[in-house]
Amino acid sequence: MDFSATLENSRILKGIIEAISFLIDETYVYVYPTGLKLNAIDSSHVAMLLAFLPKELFTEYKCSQDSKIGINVQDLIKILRRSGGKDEIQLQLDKKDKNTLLITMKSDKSTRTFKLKSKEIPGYDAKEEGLLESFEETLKDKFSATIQIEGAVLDEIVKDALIISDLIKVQVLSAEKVMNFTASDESGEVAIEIDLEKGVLDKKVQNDAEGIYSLNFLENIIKIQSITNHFEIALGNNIPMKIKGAITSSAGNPTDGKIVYLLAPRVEEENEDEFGDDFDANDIEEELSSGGGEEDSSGEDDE
Amino acid sequence: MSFTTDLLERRGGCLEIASASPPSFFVGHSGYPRVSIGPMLPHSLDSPLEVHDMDAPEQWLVPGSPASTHKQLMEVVQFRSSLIRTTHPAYVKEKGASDRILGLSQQIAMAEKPVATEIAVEKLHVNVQVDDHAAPNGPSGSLQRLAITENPRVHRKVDYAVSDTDLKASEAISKYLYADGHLPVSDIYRILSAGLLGIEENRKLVPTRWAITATDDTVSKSLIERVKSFPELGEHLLHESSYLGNSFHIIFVPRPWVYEMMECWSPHSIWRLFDRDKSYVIVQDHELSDGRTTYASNITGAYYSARLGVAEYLTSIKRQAAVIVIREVNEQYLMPLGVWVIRQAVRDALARPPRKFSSLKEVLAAIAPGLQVPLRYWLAKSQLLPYIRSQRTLESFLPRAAP
Repeated sequence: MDFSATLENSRILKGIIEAISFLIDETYVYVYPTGLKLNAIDSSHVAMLLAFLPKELFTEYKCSQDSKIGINVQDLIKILRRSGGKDEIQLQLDKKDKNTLLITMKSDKSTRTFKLKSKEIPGYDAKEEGLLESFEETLKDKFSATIQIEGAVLDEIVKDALIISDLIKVQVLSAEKVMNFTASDESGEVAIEIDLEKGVLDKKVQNDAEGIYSLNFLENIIKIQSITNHFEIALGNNIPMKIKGAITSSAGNPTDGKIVYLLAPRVEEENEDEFGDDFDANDIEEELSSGGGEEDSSGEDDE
Repeated sequence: MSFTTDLLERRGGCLEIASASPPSFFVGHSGYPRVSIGPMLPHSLDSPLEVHDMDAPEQWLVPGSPASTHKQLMEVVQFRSSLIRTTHPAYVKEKGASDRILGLSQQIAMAEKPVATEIAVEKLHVNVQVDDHAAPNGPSGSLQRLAITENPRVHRKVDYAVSDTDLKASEAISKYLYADGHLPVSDIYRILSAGLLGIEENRKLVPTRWAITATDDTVSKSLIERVKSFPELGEHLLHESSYLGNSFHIIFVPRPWVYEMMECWSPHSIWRLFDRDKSYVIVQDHELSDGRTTYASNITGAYYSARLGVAEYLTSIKRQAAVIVIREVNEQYLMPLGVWVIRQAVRDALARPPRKFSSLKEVLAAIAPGLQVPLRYWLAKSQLLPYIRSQRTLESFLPRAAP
């Protein structure tokens, strides 16, 4: 098995590995004759990321057969952060030891080679390699709105919302031609309205769409602006949100390169069949606020 | 408290005792980093326990054993008060090589069997000290002389972990002592407290109450890393147990790993005797799948002790789950006896067969009648229940695989 791939600089790889590091500690890098793929699902199984770097993105790419390299994400980041902005980066499987990944940084003045042991990742389900594809297949007919938005715009929205809450409600209203973002908690609310005629790069809206998502994940997702400057957001009703960024070559040319996120929604409790009417949160609140005597102040007096 | 003196001899201003340390070694936390350390040993053999078991909480409630064998509150106080805690001042960075008493104490701390020990103490304080983290301690006296009269037997893995001064404390604890050596947690924190683990320049004495929580935290964290790679549990489980006025209701929901603990001390317990407000005060801490970065400051050490029991259980069944531990403490828990009560009671609950359910609603309905604090208060306080109820996982959108 021969594998060797050279990038003009570490920007794209570093961006992707950093995005993955928010989700997991260890992952496989899949290498194929067509390019390189990374996959990660976070331990709560709420967010997943897939990145594909086609061989066109590389200045040199050689891969004789499908293979996978298990890496410790933190170790790889530490190494990539050592590269200068103009250093050429080469990834290579060691010819003498196929369980070792060689990472070489070349500048005018020096050539530095790091060796990283490939590892078996326990509990890693073989299905995960194709998991994102199965999600895309399952969800593709359920997305009712697809919006192209500038990375910087999404960045501002997420930062606004984080001031108020750790959840954000995303809504597309087809008749009103708007996309709404709302975050609220007891302390207040923020509402952001984006005009679908003027405020987005492109749109395809068949129907209204809506979902509530964790801002902690979104906050990390938008950090991939370092490699892609606009996002395609696909939404349906209370289904995972898909955020896709295209990866262009350093000359700015489009490629098949992409980074895709899927983020599972929070679903408001009335849809929850496990509790039914007996455990409606509102009833509890009512009981707490109307109750008297001994039992009326649970919660408040803990602080 | 009866204070039998069959092993004591008074000589000059000192009391001399020749007996055996279980082994037991205590580091106080007051005055940190100038602390008081020393081995403990019984002043009397008038105890229902073997000497070894006097400092081994794993033996006070053996998980899954008949309730009649579980040590009762006054029994624990009684045998703990027959241990004399010796005190010797030490700076936490002090080394055994330069302080003879510390060096000998460290040898005792490393032992796996009782160590024949002779001490001379003065200024004996005859009292029982209770702590919410460590087990109660009996009389204490300032250590004037310490001698070990036999060669302590040391577990092979302990010997290895203590000699390797390049080995991180966390790895020594979770891998060498716990996983490979199968040492009980109480042995591990005793060795950690004696400043015998970790990279040479980081080694220091650790107050016992901190060492207990550090050990529960470190071991459970390493187990949870494995647990997160296991498949999800197939059904909802409820495990329950009760010990010394502490009732535990432990709920397992088939989902990726998350953990919450909530507890409520009865408004009628002596701890709240003077509270004018007799409302239910529930405290809560939790973590999502990526763990905590801050100390569980509401529940404190008990959070980590219960989490250890839960992580051990999930490791043994090779499954992951969302776990909620509810602890109710009633009037019978007259004094805090230490977090071993929580660790052992949770292990005991999980050693008994669970009740099985097909939904969270059914589990909650099953718990409700046995709760002293009505279920709605727990539901209102829980942070994880709303999360579990509302946060979908990605898999829940995939068509179910054919069985």
